[in-house]
Parts: sequence; C-alpha cells; structure tokens
Amino acid sequence: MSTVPSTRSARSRILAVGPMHVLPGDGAPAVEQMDSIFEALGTIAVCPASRPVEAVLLAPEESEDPGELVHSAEAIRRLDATVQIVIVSDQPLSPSIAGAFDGHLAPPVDTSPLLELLGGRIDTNQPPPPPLVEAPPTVDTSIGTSTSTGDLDAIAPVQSNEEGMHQLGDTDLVEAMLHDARGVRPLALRLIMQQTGWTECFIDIEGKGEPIQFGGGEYGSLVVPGRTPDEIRPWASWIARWLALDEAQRELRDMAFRDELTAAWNRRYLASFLEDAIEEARQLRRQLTVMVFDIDDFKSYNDQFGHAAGDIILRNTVQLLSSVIRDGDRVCRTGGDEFAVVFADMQAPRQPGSAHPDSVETIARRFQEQVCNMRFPELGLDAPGTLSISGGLASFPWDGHDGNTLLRRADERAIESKRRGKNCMTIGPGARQDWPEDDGAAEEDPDRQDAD
Amino acid sequence: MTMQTADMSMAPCVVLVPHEHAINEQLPRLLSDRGWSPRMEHDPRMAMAEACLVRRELHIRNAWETEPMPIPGLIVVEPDSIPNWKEFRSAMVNHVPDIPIWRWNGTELEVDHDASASRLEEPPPPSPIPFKPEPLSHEEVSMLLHGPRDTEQTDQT
Repeated sequence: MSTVPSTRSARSRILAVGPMHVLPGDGAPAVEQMDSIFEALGTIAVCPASRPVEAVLLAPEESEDPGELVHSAEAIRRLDATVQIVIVSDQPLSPSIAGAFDGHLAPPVDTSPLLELLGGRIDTNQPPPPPLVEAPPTVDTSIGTSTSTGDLDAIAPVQSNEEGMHQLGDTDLVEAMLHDARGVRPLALRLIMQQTGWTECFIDIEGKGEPIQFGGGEYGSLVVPGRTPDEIRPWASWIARWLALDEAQRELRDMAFRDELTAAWNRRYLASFLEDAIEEARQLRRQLTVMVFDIDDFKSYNDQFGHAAGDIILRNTVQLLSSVIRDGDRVCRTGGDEFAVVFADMQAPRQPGSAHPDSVETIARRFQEQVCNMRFPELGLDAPGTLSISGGLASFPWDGHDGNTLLRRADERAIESKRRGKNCMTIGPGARQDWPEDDGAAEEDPDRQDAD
Repeated sequence: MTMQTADMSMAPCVVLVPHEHAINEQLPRLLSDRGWSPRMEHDPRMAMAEACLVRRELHIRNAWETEPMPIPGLIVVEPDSIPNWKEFRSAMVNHVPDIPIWRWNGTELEVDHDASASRLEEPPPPSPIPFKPEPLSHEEVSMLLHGPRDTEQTDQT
C-alpha cells in the first residue's frame, strides 16, 4: 500500500439503501435514506465534486439474500471506486460476501463505529480486541527520557493469538498512522475508551488534565471527566508514545518526499503520486493534467546574483504556485529549476461546449502572469517581467495513460515553448494554444523578452 | 459483462438486455448504422452505473471537441423482464435526465424517455439590475447629444 497522501478530499455524504435504523451521533454527517439502489447510483453520478459521497450503507430487504447486495456494491464501485460500501446485516456473512464490502455493521447503525469504520476500516463485526496491554500500563515517572523495556512494551504491545495474528489494536493504529490524514489520535482515544469502559475521553491542548509527554514532545493533556489522575496517567503515558511515533512518522515521510529547499514535493513523491492519481482518474473516468516548467535563464540569475539569490527565487516560485493551485493538486520540484505540477483535483465533469481544461488553464495562466509580476528588490530585480517561465501541459487520457508518458509529453511541450521564445506555455492536445500569441502578453510586456 | 470498442469516433451506448435473452442481429446493425458502439449489460444496476459513466465520458470528450457528440443513451430490451424496471427508470429520469432511454421492440428503437427537453444547457444569465431612470437637466441632455460645450463650439467652427 502506498503511504503517499491520498488525492481524496474530505467527504461527508453517507447514503443508505434498504431498511435500517441509524442512531444519531454527535458530529456525524446525516445519513441520507435512498428509496432504491438506483437512487443511490444517480446521486453518486451527479453529486458535486465539492460534496461527494463518502459511503453507502446497504441493507438487505426482509426476504432478500445479503449476497444479492454484492451486485449493488459492484455497480457502486464501477461508478465511483472511492466510495466505501458497508453492509448492514445481523446475519453472519460468508467470507466471499463479506469481502465484497469495505465493512460490516449490525443494525441498528451507530454512527460512532460507522465513522471509525470509514476512517480506520475496522470491522466491528469482529470480536473486540483483547486488552492493549496485559495489565494496565505502569506509571512512567521518567517522562521524556525513557526508552526502558516497559516503554517499548507499551508502544509495541505485540501479542499473538493462536493463529499468530496481532489483535491488540496496534495494527489499527499503524494503519491510521499510515493512511488516515487525522493520524492516530482519534483511534487511540477510542481504544482507550474501549479498554477502560470510560464514556468520555479527550485531549485538551490547554493542559487541563494529565500531561501527554514523551521524548521531549508535548501533545496536550488527557482529560477523562470523573476519573482520578492516577487512573488517567498510565493512559496519558501510553497515548503519548503513539502520538510521538505518529509525529516522527510524519516527519520522516516529509523528509522522504519533500524538497528541503522549497518544501515542494520531490521527484520520488511525484512518481508515486502521479501513478496513484492517474489510476484514480482512470477509475473515475476524469481528466488529469501535468504541467512541466522551468524558470527561463535561471542560470544567469545564479551567476549574476549568487546561489543564495537563486534559492530565494526558487522558494518564492513554489510559494506563489502553492497559493494558486487547488487542494488536490501537487507542486513538485524535479530538478534545479525544474518543476512539475500535477493538477489532480478531481473536478466534476465539465459541461459540453466548454473549453477543457479551463480551470487548469486558468491556474497555469494566472501563475505565469504572477511569476512575471514577482519582485525581488533585495536582489535588485525590481522590474516587472524580470522573471518568466516556460512550460508545457499534457493531460490524461489524451496525451498518455501513464505518468512517464504524460511527463514526457509535457516536457516536449516545455521544450517547444523554449524554442518559441520562452515565457510561453504550450498545452495539449496538439499544442493547440500558445498563450502569448493568443493574448498578446509577450507583445504587451517587452520586459519579458528582455528578461529572456 | 461490458463490451467496449476502442473506436473513438463511435459514440458509446449502453444496452440493457435481460439475462438469457437473445437479441437478433438487427439491433447491433442498427446501432452501428447510427455510429453507436454498444456496451452490453444484463443487470440494471450495472447498466445505470455504465450509462452514468458514459455520460461523464462524453461530457469530458465533448469539452475538447468543437462539435459535441450527443449522448446516445440507454437501450432497453424487454423492459418488462427487467427487475425493478420502474424504480430504475424513475431514478434515471430524475438524476440523469439528459440520458435518453430507448426501447428495442425487435425491429426498431422507440423513445421511452426523450432527453432533448432536459438536455443540459448553459445557465441563464443573471437577471439585470433594475433600471431606475433619473431626471436629467436640459444641460445634461444637450451634453449627451452634442458633447461638451467647447466641443460644440469646435464643431460650429
């Protein structure tokens, strides 16, 4: 499984098909009851990209075989492979049927386990996990410095049952650490409540509770209303280790995938993310665009003003670009002054007659214009149009079906832009537009040519 | 099962055929004559999912083309044999009314749902700001008609 952050945006709609009772819950999105599976499919098909369907709950009719719902799940998956599908049934399911769904809940549907199921993919139909640790964790009085055996036991309570499977909640925590944008915090709190029977448990950033500290890191305070500090302290110590590990994992991931100078994503990330994004675009049958560009005559700035000045230019360029892209898009630095932007934000299909990819074009054009307007008074580059970029755009599926092909096509167009006089973007398919010629920008701003 | 053709010049359509129902050669030939490539489905749920995907695919494809390719739609063979046909049709018409639905009667296609009336169109322009005329003085009217006085003088000269 990839550890690259998903392209999916926050989702909130949950649809229900079939007879079921859903218990209301705090902070849980309302579950929308559909009259039929067809209504659910129609809703998924036309839902706006800003508010897509997160999950569908399927319950069999009174006389219906739960196995019949497998075809409903297949239809939903074909339409949108990112929707999670949960079967609601009090009957035991055969492995072949259960495997067709992302989860299994028994009625009535409680929103808390449902949300966990959607976030952490925990099958609540399974027996509850054994205790997280054999005995309640011992109070750690050497907070912040300890790497004793006790600490290691608490952070990695590896216990095996007869089949050799880990069922201590640690696998779920690791899963959340790797794949849940929220990290381990919600799941860890949930597991504390599960193990202790406490009904409320939260982390207070203000520090009104038992401090959550480990290895010099402070993560707020654990608050459990009605419980004594002695009862809470072991669990504060336990969760501190998971939060520290979560933080360390995030830092390592950033180090592995981020460019240190500009904080843009690096080439390693680009390769992994692009393939995932293309696969998602393929499943959703939507477009994806890659823009490759570099800063015109960047070497001359380095030679004239020094490498420190070049670094400032690179950082500002990434900062500017990051401010104009959308949530699902990614800015990657692929070389010295070379960048690739993946426009992977899955917009809803555009209407017939509109000029695709209008939104990407707009973003790229705006970026190109803003680069021209960047000022570097501290470098003596205070004139408009001092800096310019040249690049090319290629789109899935028209220009290629894999990341390498798309990048190569975009690169070829970027070279074409350079050949045509720089400060230019060439877009696909068939390099049908060259912006400076279209809008006369190059003629309007002679400084751009000077900068070249 | 889905049959897909790679011919991008053909417009994809979805044909919903009940299980174990044979279709004669006329239907594929008629579809081919119309420039439609069929994607066969036996389950109405799959047919609806596929029809919605085709709709999305054509919207994207049309956004690139100067001449949009209309959505051929969904062709249903023996609708009375399709389980939950009414719910299926109702959901199609409610959620994706721009997808036409056709019935195959064995010899020709009959319109079941005409999508032309509900085809997606550009949103209407926003209503104009109400015009509130303000009284003009004689001088202002004269200036609007003839320009400022010095211009008038220039013209006269």
